[in-house]
Amino acid sequence: MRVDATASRCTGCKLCQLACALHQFGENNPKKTAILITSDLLNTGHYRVAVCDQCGLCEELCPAGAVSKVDGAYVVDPEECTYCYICVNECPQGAMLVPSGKHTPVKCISCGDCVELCPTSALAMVE
Amino acid sequence: MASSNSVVVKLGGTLAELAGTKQLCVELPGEPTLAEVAALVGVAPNLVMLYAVNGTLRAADYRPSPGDEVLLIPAVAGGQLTGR
Amino acid sequence: MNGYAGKILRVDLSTGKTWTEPVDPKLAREYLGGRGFAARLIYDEVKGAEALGPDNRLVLASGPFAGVFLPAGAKATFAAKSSATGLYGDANVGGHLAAELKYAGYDAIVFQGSADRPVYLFVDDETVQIRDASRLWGKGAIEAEVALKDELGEDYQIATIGPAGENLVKYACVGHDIGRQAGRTGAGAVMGSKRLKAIAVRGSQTVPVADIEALRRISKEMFLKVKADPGLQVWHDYGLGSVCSWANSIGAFPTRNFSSGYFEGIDGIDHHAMRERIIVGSKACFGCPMACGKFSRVKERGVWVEGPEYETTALIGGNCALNRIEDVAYANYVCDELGLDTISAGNVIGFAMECFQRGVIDERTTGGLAVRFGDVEAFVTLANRIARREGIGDLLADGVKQTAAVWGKGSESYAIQVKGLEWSGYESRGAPAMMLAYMTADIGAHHNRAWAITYDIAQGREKVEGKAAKVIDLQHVRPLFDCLGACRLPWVEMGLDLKYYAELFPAVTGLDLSWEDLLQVSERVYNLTRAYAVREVPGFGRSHDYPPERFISEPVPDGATAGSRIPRDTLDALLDDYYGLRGWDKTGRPTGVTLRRLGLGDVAEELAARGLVE
Repeated sequence: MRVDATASRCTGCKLCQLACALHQFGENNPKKTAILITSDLLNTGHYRVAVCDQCGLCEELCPAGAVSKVDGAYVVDPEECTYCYICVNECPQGAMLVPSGKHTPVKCISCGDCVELCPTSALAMVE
Repeated sequence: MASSNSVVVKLGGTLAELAGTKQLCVELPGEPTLAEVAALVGVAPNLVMLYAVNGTLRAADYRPSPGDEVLLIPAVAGGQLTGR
Repeated sequence: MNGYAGKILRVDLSTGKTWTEPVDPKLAREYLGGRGFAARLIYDEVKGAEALGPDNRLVLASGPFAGVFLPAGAKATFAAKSSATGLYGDANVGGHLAAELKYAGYDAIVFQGSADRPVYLFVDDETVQIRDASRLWGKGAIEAEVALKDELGEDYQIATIGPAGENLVKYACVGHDIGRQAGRTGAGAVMGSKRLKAIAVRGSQTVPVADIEALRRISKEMFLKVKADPGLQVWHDYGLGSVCSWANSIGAFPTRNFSSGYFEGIDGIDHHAMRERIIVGSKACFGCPMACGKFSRVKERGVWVEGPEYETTALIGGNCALNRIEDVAYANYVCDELGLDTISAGNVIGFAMECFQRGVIDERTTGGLAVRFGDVEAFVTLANRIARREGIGDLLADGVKQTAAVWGKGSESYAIQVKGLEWSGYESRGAPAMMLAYMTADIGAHHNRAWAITYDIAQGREKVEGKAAKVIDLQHVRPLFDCLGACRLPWVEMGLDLKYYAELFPAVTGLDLSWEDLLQVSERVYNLTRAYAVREVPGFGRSHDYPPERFISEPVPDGATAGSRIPRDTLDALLDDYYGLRGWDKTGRPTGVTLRRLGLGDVAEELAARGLVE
């Protein structure tokens, strides 16, 4: 299962980022997110959505073996992560993010919270 | 059960307060307009901002057909319409 | 402090010093945030100062709900002693500024003094700098915002002023998020007087809350309820534009300088016209499922604009008799770049159009320009002259009340304002509660304190009894959202029950305040802003609460309210009722007893010492 985004439906409310931070860290802080909404300055009113498509490249590249697939989604083990950020730099979606105050990259674990709340159904869970 | 000459009326936001329910099935007397359907469920037509029938916006003088789903969307209501 | 960042950022633009102060828990408990913080700060710190002088304060405040996981915790308040009215003035703006301010670690920013050159404030968490903005001065509000985002990054949230603010147009607004505005009461002019072109904020910090699990549970239920509402699609498709045709059908759509409440050209500017001809997408505020912001493109002009919102279509469309949505949207774009509040600008220009039609002014006054209803080019030319204070624009920039005072010839009776603030988008001769709401709004003729027109319809439009009580209720519950830092529309439009908000408050803040306690905060703030008016404006009282003569003596000519007017004895009955229920005296001043009941004993003492209350 992975989160699929239809960016043309996104309104930029960032509720997904709030939901993600709550799930991953139990905090009110949309900056600690694994889904990233940015507005397109050259095309105002349009948004870019960066979210993991579970391609597995991070697992392939991780020199520490800190990434593994659990219940269909790749997850990072903070105990094993050496903060080399190869995965962050190489992620094709730009969806491995390092929140301020944290060291281990955070990524989408397909929990579905953002999908459930997205008011325009711009996000969906797909196989 | 909906009878053969009825519509389902859904009431958005504060209109539900006036009608006392969020959704109800209404028997149509003849072929009323949407404004008349609103009045039938106890909502003054001039409190309805928009009408939608089966998901499409319609004017107040549109006449719904049996089996249609009618949605009444309130005017910017600023809270309760009744009492204090 | 749960729900709060815990600090207030102070900026002295005269000395270039910046510092922080902890948020006083007593201030939080008694005033919550947003408009409440702003009202208390301005009451305490702006005494007798000129609105456009260095001693005024400009307050940017969020509230405990801003930036938190709940529907539309997105509202920031800009407040100051108003350049438009000389009273307490505020305006709120959605977008992402209020949330970002909290993440940066501040509940509010308070500006004082005045810079000696154009500057902007840069905030990135603890890094606070007053930076040169010479290259931005003279640029449009949106142009300047885009330039700053290009330089700093898309993730900075930015507020800017346009030429209107720089040139001290008394109703200049503050722009944010490329097309949203803190529109009313001239906060943009106050920024301009301080030579503050922009505020740029970015933050990375978490907003602590008292009970994160309760917050998740309550908010999730609210979000899912909105998502399941069959009416949500209408907001996504049409936004607030859908109010236009309804307002017109009930005779409340301001038309030709409020001479009528019915506009024959409505079909050209209503939500259908907007959707079919100009809308390109939806643009939501932070954490808001409704996304009532529509982004539009006017192909024939090659411009993009957020909107037009209802108020803009009402004041620029109906009030200036523009009957093409493309013209309204283009005029909206022009005002946004210039940094003009579209409500006041549409009102002032509509007034000039009526004066031109009546021969009160002619081409000699206007510098050769024919100022006719329905002429978008005339509108745009006047808007530019106002923003630059050129020719006739220099007078119009002072507002409709001052303009009428200069032009005379009876034009005062159709200068549509209260307390010097131009009337917003509801013609109210057939709606006594709404009329009273405009008369008694603390910032002047604005609809956001109490929006009572559906109450008039539901209870009977002629009826006067009971209307004052409803207006007071609304004047407490609606501005409460502005104290909390959340948008009220999920309640107003989607019908989210107020009990959710009552449950959210302790979950977010941990403070044991009931909903009734919160409403009392709102009442406290309302009395404080009234007390401020009494202190700052000699002779302030009942005479400042009347609407223009047009509404009293001139019946509506056509539409659903044809024949309606609101006689003076009706107005007096409404005011007597209102003052009595509020615990104000016959002259409209809060009594010492009332102020003390609301915990404003210090205010009562100060006013008593000045002989302003018994």
